[in-house]
Amino acid sequence: MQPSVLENRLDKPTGPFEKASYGSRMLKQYVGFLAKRVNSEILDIGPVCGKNIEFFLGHAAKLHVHDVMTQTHSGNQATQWPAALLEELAYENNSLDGIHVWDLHDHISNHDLSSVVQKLWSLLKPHGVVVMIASNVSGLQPFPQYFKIGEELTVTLQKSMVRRLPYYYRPNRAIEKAMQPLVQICSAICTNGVREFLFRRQR
Amino acid sequence: METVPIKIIGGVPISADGGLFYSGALPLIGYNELPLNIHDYFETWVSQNLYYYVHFMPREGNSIVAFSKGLPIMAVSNGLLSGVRNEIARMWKVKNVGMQPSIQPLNFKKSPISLVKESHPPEKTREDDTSVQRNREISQLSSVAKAEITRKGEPTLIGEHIVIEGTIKAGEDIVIEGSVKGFVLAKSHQVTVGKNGRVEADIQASSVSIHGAMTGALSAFNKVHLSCSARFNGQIKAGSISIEEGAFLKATIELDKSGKDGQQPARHVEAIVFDQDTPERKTPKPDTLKPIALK
Repeated sequence: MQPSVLENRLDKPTGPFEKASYGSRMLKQYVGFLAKRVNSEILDIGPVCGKNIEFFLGHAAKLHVHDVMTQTHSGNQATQWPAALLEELAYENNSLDGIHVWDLHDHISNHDLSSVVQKLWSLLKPHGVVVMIASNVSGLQPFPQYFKIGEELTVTLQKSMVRRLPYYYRPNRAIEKAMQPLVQICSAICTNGVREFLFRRQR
Repeated sequence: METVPIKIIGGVPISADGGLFYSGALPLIGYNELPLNIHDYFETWVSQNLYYYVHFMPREGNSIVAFSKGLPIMAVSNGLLSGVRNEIARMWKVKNVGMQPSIQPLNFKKSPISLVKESHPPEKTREDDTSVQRNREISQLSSVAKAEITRKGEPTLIGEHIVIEGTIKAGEDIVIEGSVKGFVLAKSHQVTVGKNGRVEADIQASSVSIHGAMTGALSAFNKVHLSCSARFNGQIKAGSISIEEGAFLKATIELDKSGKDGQQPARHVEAIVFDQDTPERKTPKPDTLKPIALK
């Protein structure tokens, strides 16, 4: 018996989680954007995935990998979340062409998210972009996940091996508002309970 | 009993017999007071900050001799020698432990060597002058804490209980299971940081494999591999890179696309580009990719 769509959703982590894959439109735009940049420098925030690193290194001259979730949420450092994130993002302002955020803001409260977004904004060069993936299921179980990029920009959801984090569901409009001053370029809702967003820093 | 502060920062065999260079100084103690496990003994003094040079080598008949600032300060009784030899052999995979040393032992007039610092300098003899001169040369070597590894064959193992600060120039593959701070240069060889390895150093090598903890800049002409147990914080520049899931990484990574083995990955994805200068949204072009259907 084949699993139903519902069983593949993120709110069913006991189901066939690995099969919740989709072709990413935002990644395609992101890659296209990077192709126009010279000596592009990008940042990948989230659990480390070797496949993703290989992928991004194929499209950028320099890749910063920041496994902030694993680092911050190991041991007894949970109380520092997400304040520690801001300290750990110690990159030069206006230095990054793109930032890739996997399931980060879903675990940050509204109060803290504005400062995180402001930090991302300051790290970006003018016209730099942020690719963000969010859950699209209200009441999603609060486990962090990351997204493994495969062939032809197929993204497969992976359960991240870090401790549970607080979870904050936001509708699209709330996300767009929370990400200001970054400007939303486009967004897409995937059938497997995932939303993708592309934001850009204006001048 | 007066002691000399010491920091053991590593060792390199200098002979098939297991002669050993140690950078550090040793306390002035009687050889009967030495513990059987020489590593425990070293660890006792690791927290000290002073740097001296100590040269262990078999001394005729009954001892291993340590030097500090060119002066012999310690002897190990014959009963401990085999244990020390075996430990050295284990650490460095030295073969033929029973062979004669390639470097002749120093010839000391007094035997056993005085283990307690004398309040006045002893009378100088010609033999003393010779040994002092030789030890001075050794001390000069140690000033840069340099370990020259020139043997061929199996990779050199820096054991779990070894702490090295300084520069390692490796002429063969090297495996670090201990602690290394400083700089590791192995241009034509592989450097492996084992699961127990703790490296705070810059590494330049042909290829590098990380299984333990490393902080620093890593430059590999060929491949860098991080296993699932790796904990890396720093910069990576390599011809190619592979990272297992589970590895912790806070890094800046650059691929050396000019290297012969560092071929640039093909940009197989066609670009769909939105105009950077127009802030308004644009509808993406139709996606040629088909989402994978959920079964």
